Amino acid sequence: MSAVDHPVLVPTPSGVIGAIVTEPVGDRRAAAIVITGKGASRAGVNRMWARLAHELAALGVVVFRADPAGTAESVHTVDGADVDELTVETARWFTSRAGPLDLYVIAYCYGLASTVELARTMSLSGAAVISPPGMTSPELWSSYSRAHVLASKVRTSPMRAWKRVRYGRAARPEFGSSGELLRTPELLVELAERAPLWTMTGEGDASVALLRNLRHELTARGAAIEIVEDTTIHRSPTLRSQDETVERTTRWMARAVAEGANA
Amino acid sequence: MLVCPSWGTEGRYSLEWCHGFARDVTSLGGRAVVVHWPGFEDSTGDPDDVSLASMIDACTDVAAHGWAMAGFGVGAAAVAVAAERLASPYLVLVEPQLDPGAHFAALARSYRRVSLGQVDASRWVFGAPVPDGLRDDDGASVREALAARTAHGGPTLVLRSRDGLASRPTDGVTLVEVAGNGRGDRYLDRLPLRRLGVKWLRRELRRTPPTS
Repeated sequence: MSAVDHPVLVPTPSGVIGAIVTEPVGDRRAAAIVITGKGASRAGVNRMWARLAHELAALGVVVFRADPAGTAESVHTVDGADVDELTVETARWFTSRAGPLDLYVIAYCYGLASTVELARTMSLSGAAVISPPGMTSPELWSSYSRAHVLASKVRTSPMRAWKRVRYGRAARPEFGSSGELLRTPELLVELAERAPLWTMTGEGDASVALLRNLRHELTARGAAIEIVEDTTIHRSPTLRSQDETVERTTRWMARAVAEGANA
Repeated sequence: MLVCPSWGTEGRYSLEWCHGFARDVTSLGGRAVVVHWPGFEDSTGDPDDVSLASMIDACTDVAAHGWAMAGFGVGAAAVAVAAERLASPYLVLVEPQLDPGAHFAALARSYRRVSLGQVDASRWVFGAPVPDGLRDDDGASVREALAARTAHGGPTLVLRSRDGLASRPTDGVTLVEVAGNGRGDRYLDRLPLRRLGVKWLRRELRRTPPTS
């Protein structure tokens, strides 16, 4: 066995976050945080992130992956807890225990926003962004006036309030109305300026057009872009997409750790 | 109490209910453990090797004689058998899928429909593997265990959505149905199913207090 999983409960002002720390048996060479995005559990589809954690541990990387606020074991966090703030909070908890190691972040989809928040508050040795949010069409959204959006919220709020009382909270975020998702291009550019960035997506993903459009801006900042042909990475719907995610991310981490050691 | 999620994608989306119900159990003075099946979420193991028998073994490995049990979806099938083996005093089956073979066949049809027939759904449904050991199990052992349990009057609650696809219970269990088809998955707390489960447990604890 090349790694040991430690289940941990991380106390935060908004409640307890359930997480797993995967620790290599041998020397520690780096630390990594996996941010799975809203709605996904720390293990990922078909244990994708759990597998990745063990692959990275074999490289000597200590890996931290938490259930996002409101999800799975972190279901008891308070209503309206800010996912990005809690990610920073739990990252602080982890880094204070992991020791002085180079810190990497692996973010999936909406985890991009949390990663940028992390990069603003702590030094990252590298960031991997897998299948960033692709629903970025400011032109489309700007066609809806603020009054239109407000009227829609007022109209639907009684039903949403009733459903919340009856069925409980919506553990899945309302992606469609999230302003952060519309800012993917600027978040990616900001992240590339703050840390060495590697991003990948599938040829069948919505974000592929976005990354192609951003190619010059990102590569000018030293970022690397990988597009996996003939598959969809977002939501990891097939074994191939899961394997591609795990294998390519492991290769990126191996390169990053080796470069970090040489530096 | 041992609280067990379902399998695959439904297993992932039943985790909120499981952790919520586990916390509810603590409000009754109990302790609860949420299990991750072998090859599922944080538990190691090859998901292709999972069968109903290995899920039952996981239950009996984690729980001790006399523990209460709750299971969601296919997890309900596993705990139904485990509860009989461990003489569980209270058993809660939520949206039970007591015939795993029929359940996964329905899921495969659904997966083929939403992908317009473009996928091979024989071993793989909505991003999660469906091992032979679950797909080929018709739930005979579950029916047998439930029949034995109801014969000696073991308190058993079945909670299901009235218009959903969960199994109809056998005679001798307490059936409570909630409105809807159980697919309002944006509301993952599934509070009606939690509240009614706790209400039943509280009543049963008063009626037949645990012996130890």
